[in-house]
Amino acid sequence: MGRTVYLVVQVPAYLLLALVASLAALALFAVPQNWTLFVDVVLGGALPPEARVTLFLELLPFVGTSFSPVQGLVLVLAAVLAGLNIALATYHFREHRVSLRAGSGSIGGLVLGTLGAGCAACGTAVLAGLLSLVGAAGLLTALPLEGLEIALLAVLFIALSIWWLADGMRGGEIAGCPVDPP
Amino acid sequence: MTRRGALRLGALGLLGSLAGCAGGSGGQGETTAGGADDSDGEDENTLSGHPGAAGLSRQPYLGADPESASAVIVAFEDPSCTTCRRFERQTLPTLQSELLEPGTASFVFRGLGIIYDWGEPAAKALEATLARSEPAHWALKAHYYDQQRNFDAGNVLDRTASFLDRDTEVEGAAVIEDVDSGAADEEYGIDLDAANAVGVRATPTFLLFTDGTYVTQATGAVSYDVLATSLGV
Repeated sequence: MGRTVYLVVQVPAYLLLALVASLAALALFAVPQNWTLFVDVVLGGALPPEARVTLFLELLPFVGTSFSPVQGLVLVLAAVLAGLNIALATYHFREHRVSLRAGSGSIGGLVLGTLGAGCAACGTAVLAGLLSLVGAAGLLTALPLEGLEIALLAVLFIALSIWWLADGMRGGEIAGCPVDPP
Repeated sequence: MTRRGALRLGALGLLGSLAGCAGGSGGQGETTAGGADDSDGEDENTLSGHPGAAGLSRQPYLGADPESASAVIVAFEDPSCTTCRRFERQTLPTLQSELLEPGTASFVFRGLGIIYDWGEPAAKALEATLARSEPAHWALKAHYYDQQRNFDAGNVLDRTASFLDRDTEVEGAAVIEDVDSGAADEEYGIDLDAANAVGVRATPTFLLFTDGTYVTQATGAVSYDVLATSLGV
């Protein structure tokens, strides 16, 4: 899997795609928690452009303070993996003419990442509501990461998607270099 | 079943089970109490008419008087909320020195108890303490955040009484009596109704007003820059 990913991102266009997709995924994870603020003040309102950029960046992990370092690390990891997954899926589609659905597992990971970010960043009210639906509200205090577990699931999900994509590309060539045989 | 099929099925199952996660607090904090709405007929985009600011004159605040401050932050917090604690530690000190102490802004506290079981009695104890002494109220709030890991539903009132007796001029037993008898319920209900009226689904949530006009709301342990930039101060 590592060699396949490495060979794909060695192509500058796919490296750029992976970077852009990673940043977009990070924004997708972080912004919904403050969607009202994003619409009211970043997109709307009367702030100067530089203030809007500042506000947007402050919503992201490590730039602002909405996420703890551990939460930020998990979200950045999920975003980087999502970017790689999208680059891999796009390469697979363009070069091998297979369906983009090959990378559709990443969509589940993106949604989970978004949910996980929201759950982890809003205290535990949302997760408590979720657990109460299945009669396990008391389980909340037993979760050591207070909802970050969902973002970790997203990481696992996207990593699995990459692994399956890379597995499907074994035996072929990427930019003239042979990938491991199947 | 193919691997892709299994992956998609897994995604659907997980997303289905997590649907409630995006939907908010799942009914927590949905109880109602009278007295929250004192803004009939007023523009909801103004501080005096906004449902989240109902009963504002009865709430404790830091900095300038919210009636006259150019910027007002109405904060919904839960003493048992770890994210509120993080906000208290990393953002509030800067807010204090930059905006509240100079009198530029007002920070209004509204206590909720919707996260852990001990949050509600703690929020009611804060109300009962506020009725006796505002400095003791702020001290108790700080104590809840300082000692957050040590509280649970079984010990919160005992520990609250001990703290009040030891570190404030307020009699702990009287506060606990107000919580147990329901005497603190009305003031707590005003905050809860205000939170429900604006759809607060998580804590901390901040309603931001500039020159008496609603600007937006922020959720989570947001930075000082998010608050100051949104308020335009």
